[in-house]
Amino acid sequence: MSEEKYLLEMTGITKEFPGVKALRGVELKVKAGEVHGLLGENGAGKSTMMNCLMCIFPPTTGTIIFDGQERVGHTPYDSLNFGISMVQQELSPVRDRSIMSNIWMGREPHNKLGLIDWKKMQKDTEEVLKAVELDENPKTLMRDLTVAKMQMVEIARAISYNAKLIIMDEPSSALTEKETQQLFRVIRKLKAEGRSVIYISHKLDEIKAITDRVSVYRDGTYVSSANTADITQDQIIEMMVGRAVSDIFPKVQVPIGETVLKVENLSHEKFFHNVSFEVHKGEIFGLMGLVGAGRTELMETIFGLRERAGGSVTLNGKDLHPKSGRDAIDAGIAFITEDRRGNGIFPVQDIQYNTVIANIQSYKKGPLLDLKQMEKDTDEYIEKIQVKTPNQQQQIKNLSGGNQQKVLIGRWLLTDPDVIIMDEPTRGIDVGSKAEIHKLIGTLVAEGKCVIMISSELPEVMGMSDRIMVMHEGTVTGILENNDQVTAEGLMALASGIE
Amino acid sequence: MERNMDIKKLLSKHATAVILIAMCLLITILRPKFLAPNNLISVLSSACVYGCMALGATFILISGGIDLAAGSEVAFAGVAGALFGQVAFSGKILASLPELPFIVPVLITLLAGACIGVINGLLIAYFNTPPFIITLGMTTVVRGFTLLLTGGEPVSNLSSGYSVLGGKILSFIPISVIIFIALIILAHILLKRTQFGYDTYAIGSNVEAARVSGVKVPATLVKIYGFAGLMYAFAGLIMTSRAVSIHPGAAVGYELTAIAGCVIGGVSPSGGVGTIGNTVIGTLVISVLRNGLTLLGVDSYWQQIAEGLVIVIAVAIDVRRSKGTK
Repeated sequence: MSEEKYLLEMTGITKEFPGVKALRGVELKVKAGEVHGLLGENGAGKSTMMNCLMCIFPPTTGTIIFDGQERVGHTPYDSLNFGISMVQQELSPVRDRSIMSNIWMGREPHNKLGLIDWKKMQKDTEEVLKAVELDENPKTLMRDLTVAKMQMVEIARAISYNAKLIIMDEPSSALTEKETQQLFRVIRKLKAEGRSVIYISHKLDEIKAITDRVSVYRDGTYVSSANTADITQDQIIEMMVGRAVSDIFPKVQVPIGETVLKVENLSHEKFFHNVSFEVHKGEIFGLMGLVGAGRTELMETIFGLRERAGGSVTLNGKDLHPKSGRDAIDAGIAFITEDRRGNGIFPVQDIQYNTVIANIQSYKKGPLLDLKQMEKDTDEYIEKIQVKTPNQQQQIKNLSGGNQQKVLIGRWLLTDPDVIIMDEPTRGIDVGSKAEIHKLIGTLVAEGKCVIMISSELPEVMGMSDRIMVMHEGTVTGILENNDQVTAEGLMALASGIE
Repeated sequence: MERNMDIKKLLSKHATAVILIAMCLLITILRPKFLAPNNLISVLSSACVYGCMALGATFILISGGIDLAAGSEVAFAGVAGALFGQVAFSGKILASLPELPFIVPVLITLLAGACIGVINGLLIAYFNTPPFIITLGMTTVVRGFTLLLTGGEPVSNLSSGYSVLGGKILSFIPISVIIFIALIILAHILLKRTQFGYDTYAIGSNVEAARVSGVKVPATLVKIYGFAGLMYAFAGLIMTSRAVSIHPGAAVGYELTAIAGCVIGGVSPSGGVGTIGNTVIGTLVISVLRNGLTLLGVDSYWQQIAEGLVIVIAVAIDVRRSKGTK
């Protein structure tokens, strides 16, 4: 084994925060010119490990050998000089500056007079944009880019350091299929140049497609590493969760009942036209489409957050035309939104508050609220949905993404809805919580609710749904019974508007 | 060790209360007469006007807003009521009115305050304009109306009801202090035990999530600013009854003292965080500080400097303590 030469060797890494041991003797070895997948559930220690590597904070114990030299007590700035750069998971572009200002921020090229050399900056930017196949003017403002393009700029920035090792933390979470392929081409090019990439992702099919080797972490410990070609997705999952997962999508068979929600020729001025569909009792109705298909906007319109241009919606035979979220909730619709931080959680409030808020009216006892009942209900739902928290006074922002999502599901179940709209219910959530949420969706339909599930993940849509509706740029391109004849290729064709 | 942590946690959670107690102790050591009942009542009594204002401001800050027009609203409400509370034939505009029962000027004061508040709320909710801008404009609009109503002259010759309200019961407890305490309890219950309070927190912590979760955002904003206006009106009533007259230029800059009280106590200016308890403690810090410095014979210009420094330090400590909130 001695002929194996590693670019990066991190061994025995321990990291303690006050009261928490985030990493316990974790290792990571990356060879030169390889794409190394880093896997683990949320909280497994992937990001902590990367932060130790970038020296955003130093490890408590352990050694980091990079490029044959031990690295001790350096700063993030040094890391960049050694040749390590990182694409952060959360984008933080300066929206009102141009692409090129964002890429060269803090290290702008200067001319002889000590002023910024804009010409050189523009030329260099054009080069790195070409490397990531992004056809944009370097002077375009970040604000005018789509999220996917911002992500590509971020990747361009990481590449522009000419680093030997590039860390990508969930780089594809905002990308469409096409852009992900584009990203993969960029990664392969980097690899051909002899650079290494650490690729962190929850999407196992991507891990299979792009990485050479993987390392799996669980609960702050190192599980193992393997050549990607030698293991199956199921084996990876088993390593991550520490138990065999026989079926990621435990689809329950529930008898389908009468029509609950009927949408006829619903249109929006801008986002979608003449959408018609029905959802039945006990049914999981999958809604699939690419970014820009109008799925979220359609649901927001049904829920009363957007104004409709025409068409009608009936719920249990009664006309439904909510003017606000309140009207929709009262009518029996729940809406678990896609953007947890943007319009889901109340970050600084506690779990109890976040659980009861959509149902607050029902706690009125005269003019006052029944605080005891709120506490009781919250406890019940923490138990029922298995939210992992010491108590209900925890601020929700301190929970992991998966647990926040569970609290949100609890919030909406408490309103006792007939129809539950779930927009990307498992986005950015680790495999373990994902399976729990899928199981929960199964229980809900078994109780006679109907679920409309928007999802961009094909395995999820195909594994969970009874029927699948596909949208392309604001129109419905198909509503299919989910049986053996439904293929991923077929769905993608409908979603791309090819068929 | 464990116990130490607990005490540390407790201290940090109630940092401002600890500061308040420490201040009281220090002043008592230097000037023992600080603890005299008369002096303590005067501490409370001097807190009434900006304390009532701070109760309203608490709701606004928790909803993520700010009200710069509060001082003007206090004067407007006070003046509007006082015009109806003048002794017969001494009034400027309403000279022909007979002397009205005292309840009339009281109700008109409260109504005037609430109305201006509701207008603020409507403008903010339906024009979707930042509260900072709306209330910045309203502060001069309302002050202008107040001056118009009075011709720039103080409103005096007020009916005996005002002097009763401005007086004391049992010859030592000012009625204004009792009103203040009653309003504290009312505000606390509204904030913590009613849907209105929950909706206020929702808007301040994430307005988009509030909308999705069924909070009627515009209606709640109108209620928040309306309630605040009502609290300012009480401040105006207390002010008028103490002097048994009111000047149209009264209460200039008081909104800043009120907001300072909230923020010193731990109400977050970025919304979503705070309690009435925070506000009361913060307001008392200002009041005790002013009283203590006066007892110590500190020059009033230096008092202003000290007050400003306390605000900066208290908030800096608070921000440091809850670093990363939001």
